[in-house]
Amino acid sequence: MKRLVIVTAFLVVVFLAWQFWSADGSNPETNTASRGPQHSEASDPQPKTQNSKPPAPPEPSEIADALNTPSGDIRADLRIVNELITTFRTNFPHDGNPVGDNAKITATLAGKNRLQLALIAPNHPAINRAGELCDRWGTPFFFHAESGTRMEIRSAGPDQKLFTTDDVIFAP
Amino acid sequence: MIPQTPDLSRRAFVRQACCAAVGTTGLLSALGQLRMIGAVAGDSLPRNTAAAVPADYKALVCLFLQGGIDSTSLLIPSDPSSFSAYSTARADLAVSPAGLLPISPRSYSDGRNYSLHPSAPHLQSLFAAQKLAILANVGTLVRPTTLAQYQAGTNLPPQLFSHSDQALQWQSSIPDQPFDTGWGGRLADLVDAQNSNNQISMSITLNGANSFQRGSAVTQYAINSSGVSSLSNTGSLSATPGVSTARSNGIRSLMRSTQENALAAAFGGITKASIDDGDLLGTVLRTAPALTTTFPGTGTAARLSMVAKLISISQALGLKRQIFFVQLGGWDMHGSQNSAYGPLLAELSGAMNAFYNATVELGVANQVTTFTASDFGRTYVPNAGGTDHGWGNHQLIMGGTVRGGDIYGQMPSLAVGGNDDTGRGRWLPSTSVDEYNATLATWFGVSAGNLSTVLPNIDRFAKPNLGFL
Repeated sequence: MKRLVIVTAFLVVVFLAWQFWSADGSNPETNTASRGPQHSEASDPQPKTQNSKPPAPPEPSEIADALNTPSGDIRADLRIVNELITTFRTNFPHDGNPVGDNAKITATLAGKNRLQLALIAPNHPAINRAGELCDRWGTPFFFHAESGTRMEIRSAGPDQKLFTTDDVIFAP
Repeated sequence: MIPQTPDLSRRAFVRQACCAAVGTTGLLSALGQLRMIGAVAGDSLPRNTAAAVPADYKALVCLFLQGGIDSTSLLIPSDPSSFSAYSTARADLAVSPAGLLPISPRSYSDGRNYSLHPSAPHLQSLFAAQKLAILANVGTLVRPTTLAQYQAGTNLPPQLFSHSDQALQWQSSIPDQPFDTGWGGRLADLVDAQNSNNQISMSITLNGANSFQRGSAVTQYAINSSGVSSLSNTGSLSATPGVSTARSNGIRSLMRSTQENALAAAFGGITKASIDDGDLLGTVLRTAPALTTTFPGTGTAARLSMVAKLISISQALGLKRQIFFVQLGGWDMHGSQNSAYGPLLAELSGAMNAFYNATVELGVANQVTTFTASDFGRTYVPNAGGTDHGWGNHQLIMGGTVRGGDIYGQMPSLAVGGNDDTGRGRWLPSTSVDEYNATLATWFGVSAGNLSTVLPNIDRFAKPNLGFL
């Protein structure tokens, strides 16, 4: 009798676990970021069942949702930008931080990378027409690459001039 | 109380015999060093250090400009047309034409005239005397790279524009591999056999541990501009006589004692060797005659002055090949460049000039070559009163055998958006760090067949000798 109870309980647990994973159906590797297509057509062994529909656009990332919002402040913004970079690095451990100036780093974070990993939506309101990620006063953040894994992020502050006394700096 | 002697096992016997052998070797070495010290300190020997440096002596001095020097503020196009374009591009960072120091390269010509920054009068003099050469637009490269390849992300050094990564790649000269050794360290490993004694390392740093001198066999030895840094209260040179001697002897005895624990034994051996090396070098340094060359009162000048002293005692140390590392930081000028750049360049210019004069005084100007290196160049387009991290950069090579008074390599177009601009005036290097280093290593005595031992990527590039030496 005792053995029967144990076996039944085990089967129930297995069933519940199967139900849970079937309902989720997401790839845990995608985390909060969104990816573009990960398989080329040539390498995809499955037949296409929705050829008539255009590919779904990448879902907007949640990491940058609160960036530059009225409820936050510049320090929270800097933490968000740092999280974008850290998350990128986590997904590209052999590459390290994105490199280049603001526009290139922003493009990389917005999906211009080999996995098409979009950590921030390309049309996020914090990105200006030049493709630069800006602070809440509209000035592009200044990225100072100290190493491949350490990026100092600077906001020009309310005066909108870099390297003045009201600059706000995030140093990881 | 009679100490108990444990039974001597075969293993313990072998271990202690090995220790005794090593200890005897150290004793013999120390005796040899004492004879050497005596020879140097002896009154019968001439005190003219010029005669003390062997004829086949050579030294390389790496002057690392940490932070990334803006060399486009050092070497400025100065004919009216070029200067006008330069002024437009550099905006508020453009140097006033009134103070520019013109130079006349012996053979280099690209249709422009060039001048040096007003804060570099000594560099202008050295260039005119043909003791200083400029290598244009050199940078880290995995392979020869075109602008199209850069834009496609092909064969790029990892983490371009990152300080520590680019400094590391400059110092390793292997940008496409994880760091293991520096090219100066590999060079030392290769030539150290030419030194008759290696108790004091041929690789000496005036700025602490660095990647450039990290080798597999040769360990870098750190001192400061005042001389040897003894462990606190252990050096017989630095503490009160009598007390210090007793303390020093006590520590030596402690470190010499047989340790059962391997880690403790290794620690003891290294600590004792460090104390001994410090005492030896400090003793020999005291025999170095004072130089009449006047060095400016800057940190860089003080460090280069110590390098000159070390060169003057090279024979006493049994060294025919030496590699020195000196660093001058502060070049990462994202803002306030107009006020910060001139004084720092003046420090560099004055220190290099004094050091060259010291090598002339020592009679070794032809045997010592000083070269600069830096993280990267900087953007030609300024950023809020400063410049951002760039790529290709100009470097300086100084010495008696340098074919100076000329510019080597190829100057960038200085055209923002031109065919060598990777963005905002980050110049695509036209010469690789490997080619630069190979030219220096060849002068140091490395054969063509051994170049790839020091610079594994050199075969990828067209010019293993750029001709400035």
